[in-house]
Amino acid sequence: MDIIFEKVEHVYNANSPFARRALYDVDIMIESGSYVAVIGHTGSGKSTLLQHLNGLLQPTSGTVTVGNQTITNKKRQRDLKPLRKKVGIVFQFPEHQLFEETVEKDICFGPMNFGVPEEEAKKKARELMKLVGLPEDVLAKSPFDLSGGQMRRVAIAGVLAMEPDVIVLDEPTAGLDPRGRKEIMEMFYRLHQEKQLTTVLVTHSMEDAAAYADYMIVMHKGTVWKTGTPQQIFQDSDALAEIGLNVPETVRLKKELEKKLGITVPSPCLTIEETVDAIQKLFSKVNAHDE
Amino acid sequence: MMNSMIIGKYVPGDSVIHRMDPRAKLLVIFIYVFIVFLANNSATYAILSVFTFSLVVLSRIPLSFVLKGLKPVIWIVAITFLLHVFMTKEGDVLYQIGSFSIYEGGVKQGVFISLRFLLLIMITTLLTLTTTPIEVTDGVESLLGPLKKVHVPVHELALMMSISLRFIPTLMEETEKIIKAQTARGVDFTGGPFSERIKAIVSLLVPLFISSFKRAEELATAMEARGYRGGEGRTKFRQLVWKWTDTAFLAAVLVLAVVLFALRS
Amino acid sequence: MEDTILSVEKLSFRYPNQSDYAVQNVTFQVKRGEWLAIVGHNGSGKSTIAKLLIGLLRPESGVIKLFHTVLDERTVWEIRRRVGMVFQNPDNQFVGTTVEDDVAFALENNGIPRDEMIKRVHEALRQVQMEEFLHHEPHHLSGGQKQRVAIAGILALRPDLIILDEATSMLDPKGRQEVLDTVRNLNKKQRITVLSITHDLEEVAKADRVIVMNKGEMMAEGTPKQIFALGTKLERIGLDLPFAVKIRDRLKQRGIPLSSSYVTIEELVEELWTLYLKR
Repeated sequence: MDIIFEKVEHVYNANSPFARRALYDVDIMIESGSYVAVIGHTGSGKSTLLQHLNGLLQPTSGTVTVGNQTITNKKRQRDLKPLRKKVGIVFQFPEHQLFEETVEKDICFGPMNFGVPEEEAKKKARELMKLVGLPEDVLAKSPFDLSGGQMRRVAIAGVLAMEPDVIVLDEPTAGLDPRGRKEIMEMFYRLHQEKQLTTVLVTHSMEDAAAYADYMIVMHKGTVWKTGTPQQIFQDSDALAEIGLNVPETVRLKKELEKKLGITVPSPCLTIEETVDAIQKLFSKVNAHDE
Repeated sequence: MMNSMIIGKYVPGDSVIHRMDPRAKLLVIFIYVFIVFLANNSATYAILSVFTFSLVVLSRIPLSFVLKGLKPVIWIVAITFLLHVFMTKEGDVLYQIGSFSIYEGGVKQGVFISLRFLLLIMITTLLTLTTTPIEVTDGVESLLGPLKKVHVPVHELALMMSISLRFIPTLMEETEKIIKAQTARGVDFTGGPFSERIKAIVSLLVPLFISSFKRAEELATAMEARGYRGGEGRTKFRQLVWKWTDTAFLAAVLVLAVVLFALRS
Repeated sequence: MEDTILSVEKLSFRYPNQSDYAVQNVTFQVKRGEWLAIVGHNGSGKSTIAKLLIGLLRPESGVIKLFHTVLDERTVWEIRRRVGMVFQNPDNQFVGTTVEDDVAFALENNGIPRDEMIKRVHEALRQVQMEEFLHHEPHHLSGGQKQRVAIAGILALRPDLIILDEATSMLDPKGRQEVLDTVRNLNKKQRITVLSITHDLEEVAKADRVIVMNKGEMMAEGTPKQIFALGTKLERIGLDLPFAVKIRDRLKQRGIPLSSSYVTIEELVEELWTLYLKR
């Protein structure tokens, strides 16, 4: 299910003195099965953009096409409901949306809203426990008796339970400790790989974007500044710095090394493993040369 | 949106009315509410209207803003007017439709009562348009100060009030976020059968309550950490300054009272 | 002579109805002008320590001394006047309806005369570069700006110690940087003592001293370099390592002879360069 934005503009409070253009001239394409990272400053239009993916917001002008459904400003909100099953959003601090008495009920809430029978939803909930790394006995507990990290996982399970074709993640690890962060990111990556789940990650972490995404959208002041593979995006660190963004630390290390040693490191150095390999190669080459 | 509805009521400005001490404004309105009932003939109503409209002019707020404040009550006014027109049987008959007769006294009465109503709403609207909610709170706290002696927790009530004002926009934002999150999970907040609507509201209210309780708890902790332990021994940063203009306005409304009393029939 | 402004001795605490200790047998000191970081995974007891330090919770056993005064019911208010705490959620500690009202809040609580208050509010806001926001309402500020206002609210009381309880964890990178720069400035220029409870590695790397908490107990104490030398031990208890350290450890595993003493990318590049030349 491809997602295509054509000339999308969004103005909040249109036709009022408080009107504010949050998005304009957005032309992007999110290919089915890809992992796309959206980066940009707070206020760059990222979160407005992501709300267009499942019709929570409708473009003021332009069109958003998700699979075979088109969203324009003329669509009625009611007609957009089927879309929400296909595109699940994990909002920032998703644990704030929990409300049922038990974890199980909360996870089943989404799917049942879309007409999935209770039994099936419950079965799904049990399966998801394992995926999000929680013991099954948590299902019977109240979500409000859990720790913050556990609540986050329950909330994520609640979105996954709808079995969306596309999952949109808005800073899914904000406020977690490093281990929690890593576990959650790895889990989404596994899902993406195993089920070809189209994943859109909105993040401040260049490291996560570099490590997981195969395509990036850089937002700046309400419009798309640049798109490309992480390698392309992070090649020009000076340009990124101009709009106040950094390159991942792996890329920074690579650049510093190249400068200091007067060489070129061929690897893009997008993950720690790649970087370590690249540096090791550097030294083995020297060794080979010596002999 | 929702924000502009509640908070946006205050129209920033630097008119005489804006600069009035909120206590003076509250007192003027308090007295006004009583003297409105003194008016009972054309002359007194005319004077009252002139007084009220002069205040609007002095506030330099466009009349249209003030009139907007009347919108929600316009039906009540209309019904009151019609009731008086049809029910009062005084003076000459002006018009007759079948068994219904409209009397001159009825029309007069209808106009007077509606006018009284409209003037009251206008002047209170003027208060909210020219005074920030926090000024109103300060004014109320100060005016009710004497009640502390009889153990009315005036300081606490005012603090509660000001914290609520502070958190209204935060909770609005939060509400919007939760609505979005639940909509993304398939909840329909725009309509649907009754049972589903109830479910939709529960899915909004429960998270909202839980987060509000958490906020309240954290806020209490933060306040305690910052040395808050009740009103005793506290000094105040925001200060109300009573100026000669405040005395003048108060005097004006008292003069108005005397004039109305003299001219009423 | 270095002056100890905070000393904690054999501190233990359990939450009601819990059998496990949230904080167990913790002992440490903080010297005037120092920046001490306390790190640990979520639930390691670090935030509980913060609450104990300003008397929001009462220890089960152990002694807390601030400015050589034992913290108890009689001294708690005086101590709170000298210790400022910045909490995690920027929204839930903003009491005033405007920036200036919020900064004045603690001054009002302590009965500071109004003239003095006005002076101090301006001064404090200047120190955090928020003076132009005097009349702004909180919902028009970013998270980082709100936290700076919170810091100003503390500075207005002229504290001896600032405690940051994960004060940057809910901020975006820009907000985090703003807050850290502000605090670092206060620490360096005005020698205000800082105790920072965090898992932000940058905060840890810039601290003078670090304490690592695990399951309510102190696991290690030392300079950032000493702490980061623990390597995988830290990762095992759910903490992160600075990027340069991660790379260093992995390269060492693959037989590249690097030393263990650096934490920044610059230092790593320097050493790789030396090594590269030697070959």
